[in-house]
Amino acid sequence: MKLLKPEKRYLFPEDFMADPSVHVFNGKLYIYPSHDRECENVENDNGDQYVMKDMHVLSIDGDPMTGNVTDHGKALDIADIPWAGRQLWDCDCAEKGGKYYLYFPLKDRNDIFRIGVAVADRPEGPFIPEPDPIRGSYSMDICVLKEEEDYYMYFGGLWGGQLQRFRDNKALENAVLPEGAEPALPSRCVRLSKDMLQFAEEPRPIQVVDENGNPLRADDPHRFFEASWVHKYNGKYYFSYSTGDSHLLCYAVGDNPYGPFVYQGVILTPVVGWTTHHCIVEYGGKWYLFHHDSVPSGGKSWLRSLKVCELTYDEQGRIHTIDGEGNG
Amino acid sequence: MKDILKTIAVSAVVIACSLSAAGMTSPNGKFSLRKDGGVLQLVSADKGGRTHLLSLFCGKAKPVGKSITRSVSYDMLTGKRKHCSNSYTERRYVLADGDTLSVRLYNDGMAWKKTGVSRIEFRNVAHDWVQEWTDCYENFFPKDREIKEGGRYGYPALVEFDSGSFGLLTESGIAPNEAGVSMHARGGYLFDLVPDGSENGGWQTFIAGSLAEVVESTLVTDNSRESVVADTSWIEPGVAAWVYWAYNHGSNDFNIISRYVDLAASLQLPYVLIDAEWDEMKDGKRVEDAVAYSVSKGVKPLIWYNSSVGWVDGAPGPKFRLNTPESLEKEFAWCEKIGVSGVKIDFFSGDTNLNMRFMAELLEAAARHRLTVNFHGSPLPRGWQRTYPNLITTEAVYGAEWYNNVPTFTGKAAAHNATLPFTRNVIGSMDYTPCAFSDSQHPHITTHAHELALTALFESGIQHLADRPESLLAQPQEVKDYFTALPAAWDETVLLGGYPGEYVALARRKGNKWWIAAINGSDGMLEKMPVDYSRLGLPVPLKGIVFEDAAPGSGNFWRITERTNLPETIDLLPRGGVVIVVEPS
Repeated sequence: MKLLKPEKRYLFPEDFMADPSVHVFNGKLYIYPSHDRECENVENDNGDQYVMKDMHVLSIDGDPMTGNVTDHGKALDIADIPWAGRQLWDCDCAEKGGKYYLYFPLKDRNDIFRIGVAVADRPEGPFIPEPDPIRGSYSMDICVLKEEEDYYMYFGGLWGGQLQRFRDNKALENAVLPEGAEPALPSRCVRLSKDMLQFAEEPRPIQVVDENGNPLRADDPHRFFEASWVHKYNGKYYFSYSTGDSHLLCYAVGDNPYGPFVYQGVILTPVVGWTTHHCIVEYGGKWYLFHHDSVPSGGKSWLRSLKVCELTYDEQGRIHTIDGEGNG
Repeated sequence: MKDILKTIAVSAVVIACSLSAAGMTSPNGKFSLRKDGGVLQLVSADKGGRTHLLSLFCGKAKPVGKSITRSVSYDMLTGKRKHCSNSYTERRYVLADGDTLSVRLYNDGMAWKKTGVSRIEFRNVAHDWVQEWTDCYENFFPKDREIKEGGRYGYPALVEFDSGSFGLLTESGIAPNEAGVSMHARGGYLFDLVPDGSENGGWQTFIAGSLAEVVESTLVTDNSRESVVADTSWIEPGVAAWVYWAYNHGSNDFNIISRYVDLAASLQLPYVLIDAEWDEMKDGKRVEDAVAYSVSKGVKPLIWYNSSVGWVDGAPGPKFRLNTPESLEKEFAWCEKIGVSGVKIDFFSGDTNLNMRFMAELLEAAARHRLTVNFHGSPLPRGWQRTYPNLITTEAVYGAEWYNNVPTFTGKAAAHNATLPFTRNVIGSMDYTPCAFSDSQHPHITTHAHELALTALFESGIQHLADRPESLLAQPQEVKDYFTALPAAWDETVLLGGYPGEYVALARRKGNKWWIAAINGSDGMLEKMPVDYSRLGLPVPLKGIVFEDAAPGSGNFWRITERTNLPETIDLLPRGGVVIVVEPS
């Protein structure tokens, strides 16, 4: 049994980008990252140091470990988003009927995270934002799963991600972060409308449970924090996420998009930097873990660099844990 | 006072001059040390003349006292050779910064000990086989890799000189208060040998000679401390049935473990290993039940631990049971009480002194409770197999478990297997976990006879067989009998032929029986490979059995024949092998 140390590649040394969402469109890998910026804000638990104002789309020619990476330039700028306040965080993109829908979290003018949509004719954009955020949307860290004709959005994140300010899709008078043996806060899943521009239903909490069916506790270092991602492997749904303040990427497996998902294990041990955020994509018959760390910026947690390595499974479909190389 | 200083200065010059003139020589006269300015040069006298093999850059070095010659002679319970002997000449030097350098010229190489970093250069190199360093020493040894300046490389490093002789650089004689050393490339074949962390390293050790002399060398244990374990009567090398390869999570399932116990009982293998996750055994069973079942069948159980000093989060358990002196003592006492024979301890974190000291504590505690130890995910063996004879094997090798993890091994295994006898396995037992006729997650494309040959070609004090019960038990009776009779420690080892990565033919003796194993590391057919049995001293007629690969397309895997003499040449299929077990008739 091994803590795997696969070869890793920094994908885009030219700039600081993070939080990759990656999809294969027209046979090619497209990366939808956050675009980090140097910032004067004090580092805090609200994430005020993450001051992203635009995003670029990257693509890879062929093999992600060796293929040439192209920067397609600015695909979205908060100056063009009518409802924008600040902080354009992790987005994701989905294709339907030849159009490309970019879903992005952004604080509105009241500093509340909402989720917006922008539309393009090509995977690299530029994306034209809708005039208003999705009705009923909140929090951040988007992942969209295509399941035959339906599309499911996963979202949510703790602390600066504001998920603790909502319960049953309603704002709370005071934020509540569960503690100790209380169940951890769940990520959310919602089916999108046919036109891809709204929620088709009320977002549902999705549970990560242990082998006995009990939700992971709030003090479990493997509980959900942010960075939802869902992929399918051997007919099962793999829900993976960051554990935030315990700095792991973990995953859980379920048999439908809404879960529940049974906790399985750690995908990536801590990287250099505070946040860890990823996506898992199949390309050319192999699986890849796209992620980031703060090694090239000398450990500045708000200046992160995109990385990729191969991800493998054992004979029971369990993901082999990968060394994030952030411990000593 | 001035006169005295002058006298000292003059005598120092005299000694330095005599050194560069006479130097020092190994007891057999084969190796000599030459001084050239601030460089000590290791020179070997071959049939082909004198070759400068290695330079040690130590600056101004003043000899202290006279050189002394000593011999060593001892018996090993594990390894390639039971009775080991060697002799060396030792000389000590004071360096410009006041530190001491000790150099020993053995009959088959050189060992030196120095504070801090040693800078060396291999000279007159034709080819190299070097692995990139990782904390668990699991990498390939490609021929003539690009050695990147600034890169970190791991022992043991094999070089072939222009003269056709070979050298293997590694470490021995490490003490529990020291740290392991690795090689930091400084351009060309210049390396800094750097201890991990702030402690000093052990003895840097360079085995030199023909390929056979390197492969057969016991220099690593010759230059290590003698045994500190008084009663070793309970330490027994042997073959084990091993659940992990076919069932990665099988050790939490009593029924699966039972099938491996039954396999061991059926083939009369002495051991079974209960691997990770036994602390989460399903169906209301406990590890005590599995241990008791194994003991009841006459199979000695070994159990696994997470050292909990390396990979912890996301890693399997049991964890944190060995990490204080009290808990370690309690755990190993419990192991002894319930009937466990040995422990496999996994997931260390490199060559630092913290790891070394912890590993020594584990070995000492295990010896108190009559437990053998198998280190996994760990640093290389550096001679403790002599000091602590209960260190029965060590992983530190890219082995068969990688068929579980990634597709890489499938295409690389044959050449890697034909490299390990010349590199990793030279320096000590190697828990590669050989022999799979069936496939795990990623297929093997080595032949059946190649896989069988690995069990004699690779030396490990406990030889864990990779394959699953239904595959092993489906083999011909002769193959099953082979496993029953297979030793895991040897009286003598003789290299019969080969070249790293291409092929290897090796003979190992236990009592009056020889196990002769050869494999093809290449993707081409090897025909009529010459084999020199002259050093085995075997009289004719013999009683022997030969396990070969059946001809491709024959519908069989095996061609098993009895013989009264040895074949003069060997044919090997691509990635094929052959095993001959032979004794005087």
